Amino acid sequence: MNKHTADDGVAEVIGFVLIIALIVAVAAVWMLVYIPAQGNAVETNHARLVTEEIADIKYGIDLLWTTENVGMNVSRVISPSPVEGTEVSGLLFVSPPVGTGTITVSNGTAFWINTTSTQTAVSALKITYNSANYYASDLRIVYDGGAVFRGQKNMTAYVLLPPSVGDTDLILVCVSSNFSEQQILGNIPLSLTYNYLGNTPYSNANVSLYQVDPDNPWNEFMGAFDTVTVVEYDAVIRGPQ
Amino acid sequence: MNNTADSGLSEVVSVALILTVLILTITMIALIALPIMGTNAEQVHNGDIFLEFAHMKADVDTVWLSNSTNITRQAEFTLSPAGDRTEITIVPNLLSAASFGTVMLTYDDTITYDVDTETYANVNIIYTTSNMYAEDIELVYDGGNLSQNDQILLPGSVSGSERYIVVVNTAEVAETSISGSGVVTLTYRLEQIIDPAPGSSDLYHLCVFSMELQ
Repeated sequence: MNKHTADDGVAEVIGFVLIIALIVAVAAVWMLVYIPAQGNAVETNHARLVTEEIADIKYGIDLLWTTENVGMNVSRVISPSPVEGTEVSGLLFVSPPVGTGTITVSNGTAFWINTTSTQTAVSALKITYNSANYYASDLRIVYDGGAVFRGQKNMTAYVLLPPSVGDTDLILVCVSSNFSEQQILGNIPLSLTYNYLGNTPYSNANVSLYQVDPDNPWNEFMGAFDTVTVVEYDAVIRGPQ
Repeated sequence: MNNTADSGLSEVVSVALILTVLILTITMIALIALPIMGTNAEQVHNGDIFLEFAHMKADVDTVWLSNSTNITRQAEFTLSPAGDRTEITIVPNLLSAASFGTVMLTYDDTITYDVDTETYANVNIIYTTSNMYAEDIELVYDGGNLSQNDQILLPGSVSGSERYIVVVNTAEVAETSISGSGVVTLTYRLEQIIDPAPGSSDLYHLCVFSMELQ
Protein backbone atom coordinates (compact mmCIF):
# COMPACT_ATOMS: atom_id res chain seq x y z
CA MET A 1 0.00 0.00 0.00
CA ASN A 2 2.85 2.39 0.92
CA LYS A 3 4.60 1.60 -2.33
CA HIS A 4 1.84 3.30 -4.28
CA THR A 5 2.01 6.56 -2.26
CA ALA A 6 5.83 6.97 -2.09
CA ASP A 7 7.64 9.50 -4.31
CA ASP A 8 10.24 7.71 -6.48
CA GLY A 9 12.75 10.55 -5.93
CA VAL A 10 12.86 10.15 -2.14
CA ALA A 11 15.41 7.31 -2.22
CA GLU A 12 17.91 9.39 -4.22
CA VAL A 13 17.53 12.37 -1.90
CA ILE A 14 18.15 10.10 1.08
CA GLY A 15 21.21 8.71 -0.70
CA PHE A 16 22.50 12.22 -1.35
CA VAL A 17 22.02 13.21 2.27
CA LEU A 18 23.88 10.05 3.35
CA ILE A 19 26.81 10.92 1.05
CA ILE A 20 27.00 14.41 2.52
CA ALA A 21 26.86 12.93 6.02
CA LEU A 22 29.69 10.58 5.14
CA ILE A 23 31.83 13.47 3.86
CA VAL A 24 31.15 15.48 7.02
CA ALA A 25 31.99 12.48 9.20
CA VAL A 26 35.28 11.86 7.39
CA ALA A 27 36.20 15.55 7.66
CA ALA A 28 35.37 15.56 11.37
CA VAL A 29 37.52 12.50 12.07
CA TRP A 30 40.31 14.06 9.97
CA MET A 31 40.25 17.25 12.00
CA LEU A 32 39.98 15.52 15.36
CA VAL A 33 42.64 12.87 14.77
CA TYR A 34 44.92 13.72 11.90
CA ILE A 35 45.49 17.44 12.57
CA PRO A 36 46.48 16.90 16.22
CA ALA A 37 48.86 14.18 15.07
CA GLN A 38 50.36 16.56 12.52
CA GLY A 39 50.58 19.36 15.10
CA ASN A 40 52.31 17.01 17.51
CA ALA A 41 54.80 16.03 14.80
CA VAL A 42 55.55 19.69 13.96
CA GLU A 43 56.13 20.59 17.61
CA THR A 44 58.25 17.49 18.21
CA ASN A 45 60.40 18.36 15.19
CA HIS A 46 60.72 21.90 16.50
CA ALA A 47 61.91 20.59 19.87
CA ARG A 48 64.61 18.72 17.98
CA LEU A 49 65.55 21.93 16.13
CA VAL A 50 65.82 23.96 19.35
CA THR A 51 67.89 21.22 20.94
CA GLU A 52 70.30 21.36 18.00
CA GLU A 53 70.42 25.17 18.15
CA ILE A 54 71.20 25.24 21.88
CA ALA A 55 73.81 22.50 21.39
CA ASP A 56 75.24 24.69 18.61
CA ILE A 57 75.29 27.68 20.99
CA LYS A 58 77.19 25.60 23.57
CA TYR A 59 79.67 24.63 20.87
CA GLY A 60 80.03 28.28 19.80
CA ILE A 61 80.53 29.49 23.39
CA ASP A 62 83.12 26.77 24.01
CA LEU A 63 84.86 27.68 20.76
CA LEU A 64 85.60 31.21 21.98
CA TRP A 65 87.35 30.17 25.19
CA THR A 66 89.15 27.22 23.60
CA THR A 67 90.54 29.53 20.91
CA GLU A 68 91.22 32.28 23.50
CA ASN A 69 89.37 34.92 21.51
CA VAL A 70 89.01 37.33 24.42
CA GLY A 71 86.71 40.27 23.62
CA MET A 72 85.16 38.55 20.60
CA ASN A 73 81.40 38.47 20.14
CA VAL A 74 79.49 36.04 17.95
CA SER A 75 75.80 35.72 17.06
CA ARG A 76 73.75 32.56 16.69
CA VAL A 77 70.10 32.03 15.88
CA ILE A 78 67.53 30.45 18.16
CA SER A 79 63.95 29.63 17.11
CA PRO A 80 61.40 29.87 19.93
CA SER A 81 58.49 28.66 17.81
CA PRO A 82 57.88 26.18 14.99
CA VAL A 83 58.48 28.10 11.79
CA GLU A 84 56.42 25.64 9.84
CA GLY A 85 52.72 24.96 9.95
CA THR A 86 51.01 21.96 8.51
CA GLU A 87 49.67 21.84 5.00
CA VAL A 88 46.93 19.54 6.19
CA SER A 89 45.44 22.14 8.49
CA GLY A 90 45.44 24.64 5.65
CA LEU A 91 43.48 22.22 3.52
CA LEU A 92 40.73 22.16 6.09
CA PHE A 93 40.67 25.92 6.52
CA VAL A 94 41.99 25.81 10.04
CA SER A 95 44.79 28.13 11.09
CA PRO A 96 48.10 26.31 11.31
CA PRO A 97 48.77 25.23 14.89
CA VAL A 98 51.93 27.16 15.70
CA GLY A 99 53.07 27.08 19.29
CA THR A 100 55.21 29.75 20.88
CA GLY A 101 58.21 29.70 23.16
CA THR A 102 60.14 31.83 25.60
CA ILE A 103 63.87 32.43 25.60
CA THR A 104 65.38 33.68 28.84
CA VAL A 105 68.98 34.71 29.43
CA SER A 106 69.81 35.10 33.11
CA ASN A 107 71.99 34.15 36.04
CA GLY A 108 71.97 30.40 36.47
CA THR A 109 73.29 28.04 39.08
CA ALA A 110 75.53 29.74 41.64
CA PHE A 111 78.70 28.02 42.86
CA TRP A 112 81.18 28.36 45.67
CA ILE A 113 84.81 27.99 44.63
CA ASN A 114 86.92 27.31 47.71
CA THR A 115 90.71 27.34 47.61
CA THR A 116 93.06 27.18 50.54
CA SER A 117 93.04 30.96 50.81
CA THR A 118 89.89 32.24 49.15
CA GLN A 119 86.20 31.60 48.84
CA THR A 120 84.55 32.96 45.71
CA ALA A 121 80.93 32.88 44.58
CA VAL A 122 80.26 32.78 40.84
CA SER A 123 77.05 32.65 38.83
CA ALA A 124 76.57 30.56 35.69
CA LEU A 125 75.33 31.87 32.35
CA LYS A 126 71.86 30.42 31.86
CA ILE A 127 69.90 30.29 28.59
CA THR A 128 66.46 28.77 28.98
CA TYR A 129 63.96 27.72 26.35
CA ASN A 130 60.40 27.05 27.53
CA SER A 131 57.92 25.84 24.94
CA ALA A 132 54.20 26.67 24.88
CA ASN A 133 52.92 23.92 22.64
CA TYR A 134 49.39 23.21 21.54
CA TYR A 135 49.78 19.47 21.11
CA ALA A 136 53.12 18.05 22.22
CA SER A 137 54.29 17.96 25.83
CA ASP A 138 55.89 21.21 26.92
CA LEU A 139 59.62 21.13 27.08
CA ARG A 140 62.41 22.98 28.85
CA ILE A 141 65.96 23.07 27.52
CA VAL A 142 68.54 24.83 29.67
CA TYR A 143 72.11 25.85 28.95
CA ASP A 144 73.59 26.39 32.40
CA GLY A 145 77.24 27.13 33.02
CA GLY A 146 78.49 25.05 30.09
CA ALA A 147 76.14 22.10 30.41
CA VAL A 148 72.84 21.53 28.59
CA PHE A 149 69.90 20.02 30.45
CA ARG A 150 66.62 18.93 28.94
CA GLY A 151 63.34 17.75 30.36
CA GLN A 152 59.61 18.24 30.44
CA LYS A 153 58.28 21.11 32.52
CA ASN A 154 57.95 20.41 36.23
CA MET A 155 60.03 17.25 35.89
CA THR A 156 63.66 16.57 36.73
CA ALA A 157 65.92 17.50 33.85
CA TYR A 158 68.56 15.13 32.53
CA VAL A 159 72.03 16.01 31.30
CA LEU A 160 71.97 16.30 27.53
CA LEU A 161 75.49 17.69 27.13
CA PRO A 162 77.84 17.67 30.13
CA PRO A 163 80.07 20.62 30.98
CA SER A 164 83.76 20.68 30.12
CA VAL A 165 84.99 18.60 33.03
CA GLY A 166 87.73 16.07 33.57
CA ASP A 167 89.32 14.31 36.52
CA THR A 168 91.48 17.33 37.32
CA ASP A 169 89.87 20.30 35.54
CA LEU A 170 86.50 22.01 35.42
CA ILE A 171 85.32 24.91 33.26
CA LEU A 172 82.45 27.08 34.50
CA VAL A 173 80.82 29.44 31.98
CA CYS A 174 79.67 32.40 34.07
CA VAL A 175 78.30 35.91 33.93
CA SER A 176 78.89 38.88 36.17
CA SER A 177 77.01 38.97 39.46
CA ASN A 178 74.94 41.97 38.35
CA PHE A 179 73.88 40.40 35.05
CA SER A 180 70.31 41.44 34.27
CA GLU A 181 67.71 38.96 33.10
CA GLN A 182 66.37 39.20 29.54
CA GLN A 183 63.28 37.39 28.31
CA ILE A 184 61.56 37.29 24.93
CA LEU A 185 58.32 35.49 24.15
CA GLY A 186 57.92 35.12 20.42
CA ASN A 187 57.40 33.05 17.34
CA ILE A 188 60.14 34.41 15.09
CA PRO A 189 63.81 33.48 15.11
CA LEU A 190 65.87 35.46 17.62
CA SER A 191 69.56 36.22 17.73
CA LEU A 192 71.76 35.46 20.72
CA THR A 193 74.99 37.46 20.79
CA TYR A 194 77.60 36.37 23.32
CA ASN A 195 80.87 38.05 24.16
CA TYR A 196 83.84 36.32 25.78
CA LEU A 197 85.25 38.64 28.45
CA GLY A 198 88.11 36.58 29.86
CA ASN A 199 88.91 33.83 32.34
CA THR A 200 90.04 33.38 35.93
CA PRO A 201 91.76 30.14 37.00
CA TYR A 202 91.61 28.75 40.54
CA SER A 203 94.18 26.13 41.59
CA ASN A 204 93.41 23.26 43.95
CA ALA A 205 89.80 24.32 44.32
CA ASN A 206 86.72 22.67 45.67
CA VAL A 207 83.47 23.50 43.90
CA SER A 208 80.05 23.23 45.49
CA LEU A 209 76.60 24.60 44.92
CA TYR A 210 75.96 27.99 46.51
CA GLN A 211 72.67 26.66 47.82
CA VAL A 212 72.08 22.98 48.40
CA ASP A 213 69.65 21.66 45.80
CA PRO A 214 69.42 17.89 45.42
CA ASP A 215 67.45 18.27 42.16
CA ASN A 216 70.14 20.34 40.44
CA PRO A 217 71.82 18.16 37.78
CA TRP A 218 75.09 20.02 38.48
CA ASN A 219 75.45 17.96 41.69
CA GLU A 220 77.15 15.11 39.85
CA PHE A 221 79.92 17.42 38.63
CA MET A 222 80.82 18.98 42.00
CA GLY A 223 84.02 18.12 43.83
CA ALA A 224 87.72 18.95 44.11
CA PHE A 225 89.82 19.81 41.06
CA ASP A 226 93.42 20.75 40.37
CA THR A 227 92.22 23.69 38.28
CA VAL A 228 88.82 25.36 38.05
CA THR A 229 88.59 27.95 35.30
CA VAL A 230 85.80 30.50 35.33
CA VAL A 231 85.24 31.87 31.82
CA GLU A 232 83.13 35.01 31.87
CA TYR A 233 80.68 35.96 29.14
CA ASP A 234 78.14 38.62 28.40
CA ALA A 235 75.05 37.70 26.40
CA VAL A 236 72.22 39.58 24.70
CA ILE A 237 69.04 38.15 23.20
CA ARG A 238 67.14 40.21 20.67
CA GLY A 239 64.71 40.09 17.78
CA PRO A 240 65.15 41.65 14.32
CA GLN A 241 66.86 45.04 14.48
CA MET B 1 -0.11 12.14 -8.81
CA ASN B 2 2.69 9.59 -8.76
CA ASN B 3 1.37 8.08 -11.93
CA THR B 4 2.10 11.26 -13.85
CA ALA B 5 5.78 11.40 -12.76
CA ASP B 6 8.52 10.27 -15.13
CA SER B 7 10.18 7.25 -13.50
CA GLY B 8 13.62 8.29 -14.84
CA LEU B 9 13.47 11.77 -13.33
CA SER B 10 14.83 10.76 -9.91
CA GLU B 11 18.04 9.35 -11.44
CA VAL B 12 18.58 12.57 -13.36
CA VAL B 13 18.11 14.58 -10.16
CA SER B 14 20.57 12.29 -8.35
CA VAL B 15 23.26 12.65 -11.02
CA ALA B 16 22.77 16.43 -11.07
CA LEU B 17 23.19 16.64 -7.28
CA ILE B 18 26.32 14.49 -7.27
CA LEU B 19 27.82 16.52 -10.12
CA THR B 20 27.03 19.68 -8.16
CA VAL B 21 28.90 18.33 -5.13
CA LEU B 22 31.86 17.40 -7.32
CA ILE B 23 31.97 20.80 -8.98
CA LEU B 24 31.68 22.57 -5.62
CA THR B 25 34.48 20.44 -4.16
CA ILE B 26 36.83 21.07 -7.08
CA THR B 27 36.03 24.80 -7.03
CA MET B 28 36.75 25.05 -3.30
CA ILE B 29 40.04 23.18 -3.69
CA ALA B 30 41.11 25.41 -6.57
CA LEU B 31 40.08 28.72 -5.02
CA ILE B 32 40.71 28.15 -1.33
CA ALA B 33 42.69 25.03 -0.50
CA LEU B 34 45.48 25.39 -3.07
CA PRO B 35 46.30 29.02 -2.16
CA ILE B 36 46.30 28.12 1.55
CA MET B 37 48.52 25.11 0.98
CA GLY B 38 50.77 27.08 -1.37
CA THR B 39 51.10 29.96 1.08
CA ASN B 40 51.85 27.54 3.88
CA ALA B 41 54.49 25.66 1.88
CA GLU B 42 56.20 28.90 0.86
CA GLN B 43 56.15 30.30 4.40
CA VAL B 44 57.72 27.07 5.62
CA HIS B 45 60.37 27.42 2.94
CA ASN B 46 61.01 31.07 3.89
CA GLY B 47 61.76 29.88 7.42
CA ASP B 48 63.86 26.96 6.22
CA ILE B 49 66.05 29.05 3.94
CA PHE B 50 66.64 31.55 6.74
CA LEU B 51 67.82 28.74 9.01
CA GLU B 52 70.06 27.44 6.20
CA PHE B 53 71.67 30.89 5.94
CA ALA B 54 72.00 31.13 9.74
CA HIS B 55 73.75 27.75 9.81
CA MET B 56 76.01 28.83 6.97
CA LYS B 57 76.98 31.98 8.87
CA ALA B 58 77.65 29.97 12.04
CA ASP B 59 79.79 27.48 10.13
CA VAL B 60 81.77 30.22 8.36
CA ASP B 61 82.31 31.93 11.74
CA THR B 62 83.51 28.63 13.19
CA VAL B 63 86.05 28.22 10.38
CA TRP B 64 87.72 31.60 10.87
CA LEU B 65 87.40 31.56 14.68
CA SER B 66 89.32 28.28 14.75
CA ASN B 67 91.66 29.50 11.99
CA SER B 68 90.95 26.34 9.98
CA THR B 69 92.70 27.31 6.77
CA ASN B 70 92.58 25.24 3.60
CA ILE B 71 89.72 23.04 4.77
CA THR B 72 86.92 22.94 2.22
CA ARG B 73 83.35 22.94 3.53
CA GLN B 74 79.90 23.19 1.95
CA ALA B 75 76.57 24.81 2.69
CA GLU B 76 73.34 24.00 0.87
CA PHE B 77 70.47 26.29 0.00
CA THR B 78 67.09 25.06 -1.21
CA LEU B 79 65.70 27.41 -3.81
CA SER B 80 62.01 26.54 -3.54
CA PRO B 81 59.55 24.52 -1.49
CA ALA B 82 59.97 21.77 -4.08
CA GLY B 83 63.73 21.74 -3.54
CA ASP B 84 63.59 19.84 -0.27
CA ARG B 85 60.26 18.13 -0.76
CA THR B 86 60.56 14.47 -0.01
CA GLU B 87 57.10 13.52 1.16
CA ILE B 88 54.41 12.28 -1.19
CA THR B 89 51.80 14.92 -1.93
CA ILE B 90 48.56 14.78 -3.80
CA VAL B 91 49.16 17.86 -5.94
CA PRO B 92 52.89 18.51 -5.90
CA ASN B 93 53.24 20.31 -9.21
CA LEU B 94 50.30 22.64 -8.72
CA LEU B 95 51.80 23.89 -5.45
CA SER B 96 55.40 24.33 -6.40
CA ALA B 97 55.71 24.77 -10.13
CA ALA B 98 55.53 28.56 -10.06
CA SER B 99 57.77 29.12 -7.04
CA PHE B 100 61.52 29.47 -7.37
CA GLY B 101 64.47 31.33 -5.90
CA THR B 102 67.77 32.93 -6.85
CA VAL B 103 71.10 32.79 -5.05
CA MET B 104 73.84 35.25 -5.99
CA LEU B 105 77.46 35.26 -4.94
CA THR B 106 78.79 38.78 -5.44
CA TYR B 107 81.16 41.20 -3.81
CA ASP B 108 80.96 44.88 -3.04
CA ASP B 109 83.13 46.77 -5.53
CA THR B 110 82.63 50.07 -3.71
CA ILE B 111 84.38 48.96 -0.50
CA THR B 112 87.61 47.14 -1.25
CA TYR B 113 90.74 46.41 0.74
CA ASP B 114 94.10 46.49 -1.03
CA VAL B 115 96.74 44.38 0.67
CA ASP B 116 100.07 43.99 -1.08
CA THR B 117 99.07 43.41 -4.70
CA GLU B 118 95.71 41.79 -3.99
CA THR B 119 92.28 43.37 -3.81
CA TYR B 120 89.68 42.00 -1.42
CA ALA B 121 86.00 42.89 -1.09
CA ASN B 122 83.11 42.07 1.27
CA VAL B 123 81.40 38.93 0.05
CA ASN B 124 77.65 39.18 -0.54
CA ILE B 125 75.53 36.05 -0.70
CA ILE B 126 72.01 37.10 -1.60
CA TYR B 127 68.92 34.92 -1.76
CA THR B 128 65.67 36.22 -3.21
CA THR B 129 62.43 34.30 -3.43
CA SER B 130 59.91 34.41 -6.26
CA ASN B 131 56.93 33.05 -4.42
CA MET B 132 53.55 32.56 -5.98
CA TYR B 133 51.53 32.95 -2.79
CA ALA B 134 53.55 34.01 0.26
CA GLU B 135 55.46 37.23 0.79
CA ASP B 136 58.81 37.39 -1.00
CA ILE B 137 61.87 37.71 1.18
CA GLU B 138 65.47 38.73 0.56
CA LEU B 139 68.27 37.31 2.67
CA VAL B 140 71.68 38.96 2.53
CA TYR B 141 74.88 37.63 4.04
CA ASP B 142 77.20 40.62 3.84
CA GLY B 143 80.73 40.07 5.06
CA GLY B 144 79.50 38.48 8.30
CA ASN B 145 76.14 40.20 8.86
CA LEU B 146 72.96 38.28 8.09
CA SER B 147 69.89 40.37 7.33
CA GLN B 148 66.40 39.69 6.05
CA ASN B 149 64.51 42.37 4.16
CA ASP B 150 67.09 44.97 5.26
CA GLN B 151 66.74 44.05 8.95
CA ILE B 152 69.92 42.71 10.55
CA LEU B 153 69.11 39.44 12.29
CA LEU B 154 72.61 38.20 13.07
CA PRO B 155 75.31 40.87 13.28
CA GLY B 156 78.92 40.23 12.37
CA SER B 157 81.66 39.68 14.89
CA VAL B 158 83.59 42.46 16.59
CA SER B 159 86.26 42.49 19.24
CA GLY B 160 86.33 45.84 20.95
CA SER B 161 86.58 48.35 18.12
CA GLU B 162 87.97 45.78 15.68
CA ARG B 163 85.77 44.08 13.10
CA TYR B 164 86.14 40.67 11.52
CA ILE B 165 84.99 40.75 7.90
CA VAL B 166 84.49 37.84 5.52
CA VAL B 167 86.05 38.85 2.19
CA VAL B 168 87.01 37.26 -1.09
CA ASN B 169 89.82 37.92 -3.49
CA THR B 170 88.15 39.71 -6.40
CA ALA B 171 90.65 38.31 -8.86
CA GLU B 172 89.98 34.69 -7.90
CA VAL B 173 86.29 34.46 -7.03
CA ALA B 174 83.76 34.70 -9.84
CA GLU B 175 80.44 36.42 -9.29
CA THR B 176 77.71 33.85 -9.81
CA SER B 177 73.91 33.79 -9.95
CA ILE B 178 71.84 30.62 -9.93
CA SER B 179 68.04 30.48 -10.24
CA GLY B 180 65.70 27.56 -10.11
CA SER B 181 63.80 25.27 -7.80
CA GLY B 182 66.49 22.80 -6.79
CA VAL B 183 69.42 22.89 -4.38
CA VAL B 184 72.49 25.13 -4.63
CA THR B 185 75.79 24.27 -2.95
CA LEU B 186 78.17 26.91 -1.63
CA THR B 187 81.71 25.61 -1.34
CA TYR B 188 84.02 27.72 0.82
CA ARG B 189 87.55 27.54 2.16
CA LEU B 190 89.45 29.88 4.47
CA GLU B 191 92.70 30.91 2.83
CA GLN B 192 94.11 33.29 5.41
CA ILE B 193 93.26 35.92 8.00
CA ILE B 194 94.91 39.28 7.39
CA ASP B 195 95.27 41.21 10.63
CA PRO B 196 95.87 44.96 10.74
CA ALA B 197 99.50 45.93 10.56
CA PRO B 198 100.93 46.67 14.03
CA GLY B 199 100.59 50.34 14.82
CA SER B 200 98.17 51.06 11.99
CA SER B 201 94.79 52.69 12.51
CA ASP B 202 93.10 49.97 10.47
CA LEU B 203 90.49 48.15 12.55
CA TYR B 204 89.55 45.40 10.09
CA HIS B 205 90.60 41.78 10.25
CA LEU B 206 90.07 40.30 6.79
CA CYS B 207 88.99 36.66 6.77
CA VAL B 208 89.87 35.76 3.19
CA PHE B 209 87.71 32.99 1.80
CA SER B 210 87.60 31.21 -1.51
CA MET B 211 83.93 30.65 -2.45
CA GLU B 212 82.05 29.02 -5.28
CA LEU B 213 78.35 28.48 -6.00
CA GLN B 214 77.28 25.33 -7.83
